[in-house]
Amino acid sequence: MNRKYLGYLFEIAWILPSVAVPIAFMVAIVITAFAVGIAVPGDAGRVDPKALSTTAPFDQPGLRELAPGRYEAVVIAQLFNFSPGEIEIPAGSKVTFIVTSRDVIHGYKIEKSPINMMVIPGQISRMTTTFDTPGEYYIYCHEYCGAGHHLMVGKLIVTPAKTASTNR
Amino acid sequence: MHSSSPRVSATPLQRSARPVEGSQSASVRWIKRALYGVTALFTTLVALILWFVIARPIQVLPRIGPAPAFMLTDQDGRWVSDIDLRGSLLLINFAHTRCGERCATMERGLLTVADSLRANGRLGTQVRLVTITVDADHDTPAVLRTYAARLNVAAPEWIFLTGSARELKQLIGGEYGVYYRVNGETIDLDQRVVLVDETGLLRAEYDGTRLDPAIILRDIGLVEQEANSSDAARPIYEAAHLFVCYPR
Repeated sequence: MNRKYLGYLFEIAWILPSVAVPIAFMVAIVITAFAVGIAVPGDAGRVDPKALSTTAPFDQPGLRELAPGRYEAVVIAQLFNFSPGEIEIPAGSKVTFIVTSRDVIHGYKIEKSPINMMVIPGQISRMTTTFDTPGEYYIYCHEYCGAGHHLMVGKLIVTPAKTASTNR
Repeated sequence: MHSSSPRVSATPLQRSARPVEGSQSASVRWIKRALYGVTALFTTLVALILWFVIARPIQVLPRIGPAPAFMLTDQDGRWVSDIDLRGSLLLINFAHTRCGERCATMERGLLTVADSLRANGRLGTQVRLVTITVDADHDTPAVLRTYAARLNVAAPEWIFLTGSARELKQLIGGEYGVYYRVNGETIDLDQRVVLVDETGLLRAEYDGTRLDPAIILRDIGLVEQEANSSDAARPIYEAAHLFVCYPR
């Protein structure tokens, strides 16, 4: 029992938790993945990626006007494009993006906007924002998804003139 | 360099260590005990959190956000606002009276929920059903009253609301985000049912075409359980929110 032993104890007191923490995380991931079935936390919902063509709203991907100046874009990300690839809205519109993947993990990022989502098969990603500045914005897949990943680009066009609403 | 430096540092160490030999071994014992204690505490905490997250003994419904405000006319011609309906759980659905067979699943599901709630005396007090029409031109209060009579339900239990086409579009399309399109006689409608809690928070959304009364009754039970929980249990429910212990 000397100073050296005391120092050793202090060392152990720091080393053990720093080993235990990653082990605990590892155990948590393994248990949730294999024993309980991993589920991404959140309330946006889940969808069967094999049954997208028969599940609302993904059976009809595209832009829908919910109310004047309020839109909903239902988007399917797949190897190597977005469906729809081009979205056109008038400036000042509030748009909710509802995105899911048909195959592998993709990303959905619209430049110069807060829309930046991971798109996971089986999981619905949902985000709302308002586009005030007219212009053309690229939509990128920013989650490496395969050989054609760099070609996976969509476009959002914000038109300056507010077109008259046909949906009442 | 190598031979001299340990000797230099070791000498003052030994000198200071020798007089407090007895108290040091006691402190070593104390540190050892504290080490075991901290390890045990840490392990228990991790195990407890893992159990809470995996077994999910307490389940809650997500707080999606504040439910939109409205001021509409009910089937008896009275003004009804969302504030008037605070204090009871609201099961709100968006429909219209000419929907017929297309809305049958939603209608039957809601009737089953209503019957089940009426059976234990909670309908009209703790839980209320609200139908907001999307068809402003056709569904006047009189038409809604006839429709309510056909479903054999009345005002405090099940409220039918209508308003101007513009108001309804802003509320249902703009605020609730439910798509519908009125084309004269034909109406495209995404059938949606939402659950609003007694404080006016949106807690759940359901697809009307695949409505399961059992799931709605379970969710109503979960919201009531959380609302009626004691102050001591409140942190546990907050933890359930934090760890997203939502029912699957």
